[in-house]
This record gives sequence, structure tokens and C-alpha cells, in this order.
Amino acid sequence: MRKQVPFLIATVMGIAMVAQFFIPTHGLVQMQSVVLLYGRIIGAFALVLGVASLIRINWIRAKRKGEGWTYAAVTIIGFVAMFLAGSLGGFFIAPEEPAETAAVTSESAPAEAAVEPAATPPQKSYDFGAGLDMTKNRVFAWMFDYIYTPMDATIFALLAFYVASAAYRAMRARDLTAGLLLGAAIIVMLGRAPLTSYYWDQLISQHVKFIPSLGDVTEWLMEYPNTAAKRGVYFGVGLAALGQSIRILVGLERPYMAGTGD
Amino acid sequence: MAQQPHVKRDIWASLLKIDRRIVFVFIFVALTVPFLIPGMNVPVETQPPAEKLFAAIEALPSGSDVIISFDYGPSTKPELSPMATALARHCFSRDIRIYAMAFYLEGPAIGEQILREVAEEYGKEEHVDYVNLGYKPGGPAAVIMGMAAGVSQVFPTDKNNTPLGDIPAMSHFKKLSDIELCISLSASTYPEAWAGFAKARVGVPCAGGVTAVMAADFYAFLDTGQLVGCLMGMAGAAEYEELLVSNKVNENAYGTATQGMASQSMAHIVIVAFVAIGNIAMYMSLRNQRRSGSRRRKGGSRSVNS
Repeated sequence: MRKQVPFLIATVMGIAMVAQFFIPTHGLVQMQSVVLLYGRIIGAFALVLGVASLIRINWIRAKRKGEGWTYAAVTIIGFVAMFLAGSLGGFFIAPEEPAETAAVTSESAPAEAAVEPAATPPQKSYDFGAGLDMTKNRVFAWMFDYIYTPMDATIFALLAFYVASAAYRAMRARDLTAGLLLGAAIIVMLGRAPLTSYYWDQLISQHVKFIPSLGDVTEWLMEYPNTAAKRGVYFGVGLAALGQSIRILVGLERPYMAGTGD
Repeated sequence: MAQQPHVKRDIWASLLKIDRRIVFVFIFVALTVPFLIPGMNVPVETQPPAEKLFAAIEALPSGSDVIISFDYGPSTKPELSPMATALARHCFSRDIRIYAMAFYLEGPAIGEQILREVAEEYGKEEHVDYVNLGYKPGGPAAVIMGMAAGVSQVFPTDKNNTPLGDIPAMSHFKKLSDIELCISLSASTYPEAWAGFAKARVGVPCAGGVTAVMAADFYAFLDTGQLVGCLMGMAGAAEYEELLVSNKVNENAYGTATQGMASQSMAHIVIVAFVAIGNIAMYMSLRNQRRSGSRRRKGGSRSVNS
């Protein structure tokens, strides 16, 4: 039973989801909506599990004080700081300026507005729902803008340096195919750079008719040889996914049994 | 005189093994110097993928509804945010409502900043001219098909917890089929998911904006019409800025993408130069090795004969 029931659920649901794709009757479409709703709920749980796992692993690493434990500690501190700023950010929201003061300070406001008391009470100093509203929660916004964003962007920006170094080392025309790859790469790199593309056209393409513009050659390379190769890969991946799905549907593979299906 | 070939060989061999820190210094200079030289702008030529997206938005009537999905985080912000800014400018200039959402956790915060800035430029209001629906986990299939059944099923509130019923703009967007165009800005394959579900299942036209490293993947989708257009990397964003200016949509549309083109061009030139140096050095080293080998063989045969 421990094996048959999960297999039956997976097979019936899998076949029903495939069927609704080809036979979109009301009942099957409704079923699809419910299943997708469950999918979103499970997705939300997966997020919680991911966060819990991140904390647990880094907590253990920091506690054992093994190699690189400081990174684990920084991860936990960063997580807690952002979590508090986001979820309890309402505490940091300054209460809205009372209507009377606002009216007095605004020159364009009508005179009677300065006398009339505010119709609505001033906003309370804590607003849980506004925690992630970056127009109000300036602490979260500041942390996002000036800590998280620059650090994340910096790590990604380092890629430019490593790519340059790797290109110099790896892109060598050792044989014909490597030479073709290298030639295509250089044309695309120069063609995607406006400076070289522009001056190639101005200085060469416009004067020598049989030499096309660098932008056109780049687009041709991307649109024909690249797309042809990509389509081959996509078809291969699609067929493999189809084969894998059929194997799961008929129970030849049971990844949902977490390795206990055999 | 006899040592000259040996010295030459050393030069080529050393050019084959340039320290990576030297490469880093050259890239650093190539990237930073153009930013320090005022007015160093590079003329940008537009390409069909960007032109097609521009034409698709241009073809939408005033009062249309467009989704911009901010499926990226701060790491790819320099490449993708200029696209979002340019697209938002184009939409607001044509009185097209924007519904922002994200499959990426950090996406809504980035989207909020961009939309707020551009909305101020055009005098547009949140909840009237644009809505930020926020992030939703569960994967593109569940979220997109859920929106096809009803937006409120997936997003009961907007990002800042305002119920959808209290948002005037949401009266135009009850189901995904109410949308005229979905644009996914992504450092991953999310535009593919939008094409696979929103376009294939619901029939809503889709477009993408992707990082340069992902660009090669999306030409296949452009050819088939699964994506009506695509912005590719920072160059794609610069092309869109150029299209906004040249078509008189916004004469101040040149932004960080256009500014970054000089740096990007210089970096590409430096990389190509290093690749060329590496290849020339490899060729010369091999030639010298062959020559010295043949000399050795000749010398050896002479000594045997003698």
C-alpha cells in the first residue's frame, strides 16, 4: 500500500493534467485550477522550508566554528536584520503629519483647511502591513538600496573580470571548429558593442559594398546558426522530458517516493 | 646574436601566460574611464528584436493593460532596470496601465522604485495607472494559469496589502486574457515560461527582456512569434532608449544603458584584444617550436652523418 497509493495518485493526477491540456472541458479545467492552487500553496511552504534549511545549516556551521564559520554567522545576521526590517518595519514608520500642520505649511492650501480639524485620525505609528512598502519603511528601503543591492551587484559585476581572463585563456583557435567558434564570438562581441559596430559601418561597410554591417552579421549569426543549434537542443530536451514524464506516469520511475520507490 | 631567437620565444611564451591581474587592470580601466569622460556617448544602432517590441507597444491603443514581470534581483539590475525604465516610459507616454508582478523575491521592490520614479515623471498615480501586485511563489505554471482563471485567486492584495477590490485599475484586469501584452524582464528563462503559458494557453502576446548571456536562448522564440520582441542585455536597453528618443516618445530617455555603452564597448574591445594576443602568441610559439624542432632534427642528422 505504501508503494501503490502514491503511484496511483501520481498516475491519475498526471494523466488528468495531460488530459485537461488536450480536452479542456469545464470539469477538467476546474480540477486544473484546484491543482494549481495546491501548487502555489506547496510553493509557499517550499519557501519556508528553504529559509528554515538555510538558517539550520548556517546555525550549525557557526556553532561548530569550523572553517568559514564567520560567513555562516554573517548570513544569519543578514537574514535576521532584513527579516526584522521587513516584517517589523512598521515600527520605523514615522506617523503621518497631522492634517492641520500640513495645511498650515502648505501655501497653496485653502485658508479654511487650516482651521478645519482633520477628518481622519492621524495614522498610528505601527502599521504591520506597510512593513514592505518602501515608500514608508525607509529602514527596509535603505538596507535594500545601500547594502543588499550594491553587494549583490558587486558579486555579479566581478563576472566581467573573470570572463575577460577566461576568454583570454580559453578562446584559442587550436583547430578549425575552435577557430570558427572564436571567429563567431569575436564578431558577436564587436557587433554587440555600439562603438565598434558604428565605426565598422562608417569606415568600412559604407565604402566597400560587399562587406555587410557588423550589426547585420551579428544578427545573422544569432538568428540562423545559433537558433538552429538552440532548436536542436530544445527538441532534444523536450523529447527527453516527454520520455521521462511517460516513465513517471507508468511508474517506471518514482522520484516522488524520494528514493524509496524501488 | 645567437641568443635572439631564444629571446623572441620568451616574449611569445610570456604573452601566452599574462597574469590575470593585468587583464583585470585593463578591464577596470576600460570600464571606468568612459564614465569619467563627460559626454562620451556612443551612437547606438537599433536591432530587430528591440524594434519589434517597440512596435508592439506602439500598436497598443491608449488605455491598454500591460504586465511587466520583474523576474530579477539586484545582481542583474544594471542590465535589466534600464529596460524596465524605458518600457515604463513608453507605456505611460501612451496612457497604458502597467501591472507589475514578480517570480523573483526581490523583483517587487525593484519594480516599485522604477515605477514610482517614472510615474512621477508622467504624473501617473499608483492604483490608477499602475499596480504592483508583488511576488508570488509556486512557479510560473501555477501563477500564470491561476491568473488565467482569476487574478484575485493568485493576488488577493497588491504588494502593500491593499485589497484588489479597492484598487481602481484592477477593474480592467480580472483575468489574464484582459491583458494586451506580458513582458518578463529576467536573468533566467521566465520569458520562456510566459510564452509557454500566457501565449500558448491564454493567447496573450508576450515579450522579454533578458541579460546578454541569456540572449542566445530567445532568438528561437522570436522567430516563431512566441515572443513579439525582446531586449537583449544592456545593449538592448540602450536600443530601446534610442527608439524612444528617435521616435520622439521621450527626448530625455537616454539613461544608464546608453551611458554604459561606451564602457561596454571598451570592455569588449579589450577582451577581443587579449584574445587576439593569446592567439597570435600561441601561433608564434608553435611556429618557433616547430622551427627549433626541425633545426634540432637537422643538427642531429648531421652529427649522425659525420
